[in-house]
This record gives sequence, structure tokens and C-alpha cells, in this order.
Amino acid sequence: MMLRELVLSATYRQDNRTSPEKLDKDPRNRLLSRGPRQRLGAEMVRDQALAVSGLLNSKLAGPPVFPPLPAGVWDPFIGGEKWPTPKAGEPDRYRRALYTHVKRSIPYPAAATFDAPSREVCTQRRILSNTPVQALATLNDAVFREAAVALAGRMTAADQAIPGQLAAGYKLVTGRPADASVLKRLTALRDGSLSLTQDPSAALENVASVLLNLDEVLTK
Amino acid sequence: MNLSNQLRLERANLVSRRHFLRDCTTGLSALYFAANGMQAASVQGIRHDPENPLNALPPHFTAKAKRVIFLHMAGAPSQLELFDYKPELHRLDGKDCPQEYLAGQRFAFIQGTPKLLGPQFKFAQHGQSGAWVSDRLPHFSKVVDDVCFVKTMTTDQFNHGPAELMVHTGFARLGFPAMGSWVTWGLGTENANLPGYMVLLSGGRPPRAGKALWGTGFIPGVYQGVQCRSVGSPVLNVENPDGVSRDLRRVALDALKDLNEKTHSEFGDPETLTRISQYEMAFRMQMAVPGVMDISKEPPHIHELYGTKPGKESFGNNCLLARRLAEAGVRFIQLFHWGWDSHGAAGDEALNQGFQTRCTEVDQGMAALIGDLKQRGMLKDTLVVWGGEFGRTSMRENRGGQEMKLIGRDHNPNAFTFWMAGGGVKPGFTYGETDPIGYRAAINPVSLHDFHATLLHLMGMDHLKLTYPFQGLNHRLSNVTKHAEIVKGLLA
Repeated sequence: MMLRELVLSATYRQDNRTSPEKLDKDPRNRLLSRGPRQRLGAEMVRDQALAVSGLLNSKLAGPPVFPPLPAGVWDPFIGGEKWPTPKAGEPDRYRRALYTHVKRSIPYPAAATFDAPSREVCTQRRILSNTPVQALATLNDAVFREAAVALAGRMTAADQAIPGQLAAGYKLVTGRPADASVLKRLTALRDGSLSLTQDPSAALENVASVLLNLDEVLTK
Repeated sequence: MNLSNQLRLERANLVSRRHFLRDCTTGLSALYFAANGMQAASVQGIRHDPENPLNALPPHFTAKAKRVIFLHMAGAPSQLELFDYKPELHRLDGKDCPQEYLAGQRFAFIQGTPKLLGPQFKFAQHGQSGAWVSDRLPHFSKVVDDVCFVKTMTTDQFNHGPAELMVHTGFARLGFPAMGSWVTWGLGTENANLPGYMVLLSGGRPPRAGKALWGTGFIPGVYQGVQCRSVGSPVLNVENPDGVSRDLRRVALDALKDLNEKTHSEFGDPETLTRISQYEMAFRMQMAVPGVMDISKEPPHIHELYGTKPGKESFGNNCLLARRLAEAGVRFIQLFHWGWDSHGAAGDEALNQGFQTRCTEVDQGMAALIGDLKQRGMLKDTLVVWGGEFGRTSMRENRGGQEMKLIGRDHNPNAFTFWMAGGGVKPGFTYGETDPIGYRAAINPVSLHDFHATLLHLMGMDHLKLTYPFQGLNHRLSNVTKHAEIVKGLLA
């Protein structure tokens, strides 16, 4: 009830655009001079990439799952412990971040990088950092790579023509239509990528990766 | 520095004191500062190129230290078992603590009248300087002639989280920039392909206050510390996925930058500009990181010096990485080694057990770091600092008023030891003296604010001039609400 009251309030639903004046007088938005604008939390960053690319398995409950880990991360103290990652396409590879197996001595890197707590002590609030290591994760990590490829597939299926595919991708990740200038920039990116790779799907995957990394997409 | 901040700085340079007072949201403190002649209305502008916010900037005056390596012993090691030798405390071992030391004191765990606890290890003098070091640090004992000890550090915090924040930000609360952020904001960095401020963890756990210890507070986010992983590959995902060439990534990032700039012009959020910079940094790091972070390329004699085994989490590995990052031009390198909270409530944190393991874990690496920097001619302009967030009591901890099975000491904010080396501090020197039982700073106490002022001074910056305007106040690392003085006595 309280949460509902909060998110339906006029204050919460304010536009989150800001201005130099607002930043000067209310830099941390303590006076609620604008709507909230924050980077997504660690779990949401993953879940959203899976959701917009159509990979998310929204099954509820059940034992923990073991999504892909970068090589060299899994080095448990007890040698026999396993991290059995399901193969590409298997449903448990794409569950919500909430279901990822937690081992405190080996935190799941994509979550830790995005400021998920280490769970060793109580966390009153998460610090939301903004680092190059996060950029490397959403550009190169296996989960996000798979999401980019799947998103490109969804875009291809959405329309026969390239402009329609680009518009569909943008709509999927931001929830709003692309204006002419965005579409123009995405078209230039797709054409530039194609001339480098000579491969239409690789070019569209490059666009999809950019879409998943947009500031607007990583921020609520 | 982003555009809106730049504009704010320009504006701040133009407004008169009268306007400043009128607009200031914290009018009283502004009056105070104005009345005290502290130039609150004039901002000593640090002007970064908005496109390259990490570009090196000149210091205020000639710097002794170009970079800092800070070794934080998280949990607060006992100065009385390592550096601050107190024969008198040895004599009083097991006696009831005199009331004069207990009146008005707050302890984390000690109750009633605790017993005094003598030094638990043998001490000897080392080097030409005759510095006292206990037998727990045999490697370090050999480099004491390069070290400047400050025996009289003090703080006003006696819980780990707030005390760690005090060490790193000058405030006990969250939301203020860490010293690495201040330094990187003030001076930029010398290698555009690596972050200017990097953080390495060991000891199995992060420090209590976590990422706030290398956060930027109100300074733009691009100056925050970048934490590297301590096991295996220090930075994950530096390789592009299969089929993505560097050229292909470049065109992607060009488009991403344009689209994010559009977002920024629409929403005005400074975090968007930070994000743009971080994606560009990530692209450059992909080239630079694999070489710099690969300690396996070091020759065998270096591994022997540091006692390093590539691929495992260790303080020694991080010391070697710190030297490599320093060589590569990183401005501020922050190490944390957890596990010094020697209460004696459990074996891994008792002075007669876990504490000794911790000493062994850090001894060789930190001594090697000093020796290695020296042999490369880098110690003269690299400031190495070692310390915890407070000290430990001269009394034995008696949790619940009972004598405990294992031996430990409680938290003590009244006196602790920092040591520094290189970067313009006196080598083979000891500054300050504690009382005969090592409980309080007796001669020449040094607050953390004094330390921050001194650190900036060594880096060629005036701590009163390196200010950042935030909510009507020109903030500074040395904490505008506190007195801070450069500790001239330890400058070389």
C-alpha cells in the first residue's frame, strides 16, 4: 500500500528532466524538485537486458540457477563445488538475477560490478557507482552479448525493412518511438557496421549492443 | 568536469560576496566563513577539458609526490604490537587500568575496569634510524630507514565504518569525496588509458564502509575509484566478444556517445556525461589493462622479492600491481587488506593468533614495494602511506566485563600509527610521541584533517584552495568544519 501510494504520487511521477538551476539548488534531489533518475540496480540491469531481448524466463521460485560466469572466476575453496551453467537455449540460463546462486566468497561479477551488496553485513542503501568496468560488462559479458544477439533477432523479425527494424529495437529498449534524429544515427551505425563486417546480422547485433548500453536504458 | 559544473564554476567566479550570501542556502556558515576571511565566494577553479576530464593538470605549486599508494589495513591493526614500543606498558601488564584513562571514555566492548596489556611481541631497534619494530615484521624492519612514522594519529570515530570514512573522506558520514577522487579531480592523471584512481582489495573481505570509501560524493563520478578484482583477472570482460573487432566497437561507441549526448541535452543529468566518459575509458582500458595488470610477466627475482604467486588473491600481488600501476602513471592507488580487528573474541582476530597471520600476509609485500620503488628511482615522487582507521587500546579487551580466553585489544581513536615513505616525507624519522602506555597522543598529535592537508601539500596542492562548491559551501578534503594544519615537522 505504502509503495503504491509512493509511486502514484504526483511528486514521484514528476518529469526527471533537470536544469543547471535545479542542479545548483537541489543537486541530490532532496527537495524533490524533479522525478527520480537513477541507474538501475544490479539485478535490474541483467533482468532488463534479458526481458527486452526476449530471453527472460519469468518462472517463479525454485532452486538457485547458474548463469554464465566469465572464465577464471569460479575457483571455490572446496574443489568439488560446481557451477553448472545451462547450455545456450536452456531455460535456467535466463532466469531473473534474483535466482542466481549466491556464494559470498565468489560474488557473481556482473552483480558485484553494479553494486550488489556482498551480503556480509546489513546494507542500508546501495551506492550507485558509474564505472568503466560496468561499461565492459554490458558490452562484453556473455549474458549481455547473448542479449544483444537475441535483440537483433527480435528486430529482424519485427520488420522486413531496416528502418523498421531499427525503430522496433529502439522502442523495445526505451518504450518510446525513435525520433528522426535517433533513427538517422542508428541507420548510420548500421551502415557503418555493415561496411566493416559485410555481414548484415553482425551489423544489426552491433546496433543492438548500442541499444542495450544507452544511458536511457541503464537509467530509470 | 562536465559542462554544467563548468558553468557553475564560471558563475561562482563572477558573483560578488553579497550575491553569494543572498543565494547561499546555509547562510550562517557562509557568514562565519566570510567573517573569518575565508574566501568562500571565490572558487579556485579546477578547469578540466570537458572532453578529457582526466587530463593532467598542473599542481598549485611544485609537488614532491606525483602519485600516492595508500595501504589501508582495514579493521585497525594494533600499533602497540607493531611500531609503538612501550616498555612501561610491559611493566604494567596485568595491572588494573588507572581510572584516569577510563573517565569519560567510550569503548566499543570494554566494560568496568580492564587490565593493561603489555606488548605481545618482542621489539628491537632497526636501521640507522633506530626505529622500533616488533618481530612480526622481519621484512619491513629492513626498510625502516626509508620510512617516516607518525605515532600520534588521532580520529574522533571509534566504529569501523565511520572511522574508515574519516580516513578516506574527512567526514564520518556518507556522501563526501574520497581523497583519491579529490586528488584525481585536482590533478587529473598521467595515463589517459587507465583510470586515475584504482582500488585493489585483499584479505577476503571488503572494508566495512565498502564502496563509499572510493566514491566521489558531490565531485563528478568520473573521478571515482575503479575497483579491480583481486582473484584471477583483475578486470573482467576486457576482451571483445567473438566477431566484434575493435573497429566495429569503435563505430558502436561513436553512435552511443552521440545518442547519450542527446539524452544529456534532454535530461541534463551529469551522470550521463560521466557514463559517456566511462565508455570511452573502457575502450582505452581494453588496450592498456591486459599488459599493465599481468604480473606473471615480472622476472623471477621480483616475484621472490614480493613473495607473489600470480592468480591468487594476496596483498603481495596487489603491492606488485600497485607498483606497475604507479609506473604506468595512475595517480592514486588504493589498497585495502581486511582482517585487523584484533578484539580477541575469535581466533582469526586474536593478537596471539589471527593477527600474526595478518602480519605475515602484509610484511613482505609492503617492504618489497618500498624497496622496489626505491631501486627504480620512483620512491622520491611516490608517496606510500600505511595505516588503519584507528588504533587499539592499551587495555586488554574484557568483553562483557569478563576475561577472555584469547588476547585482544579494543578500538582506540586517541592514538594510532601511520607510516609513510617517499614523496617528500623525512626518511628514517619518527614524528610525535604517545603517553607512556601508548593510549593517547602526547606530543604533536596529528588529526586526519592534518594528514589530508599534508598529503595534498606533498602533491603540490593547497588544501584551502582545492575546494569544490556544493550546496553553497566550498568543500575541501581537509573538512571545512574542522581545523587542519600541514604537519611541517615530517616534510623532508
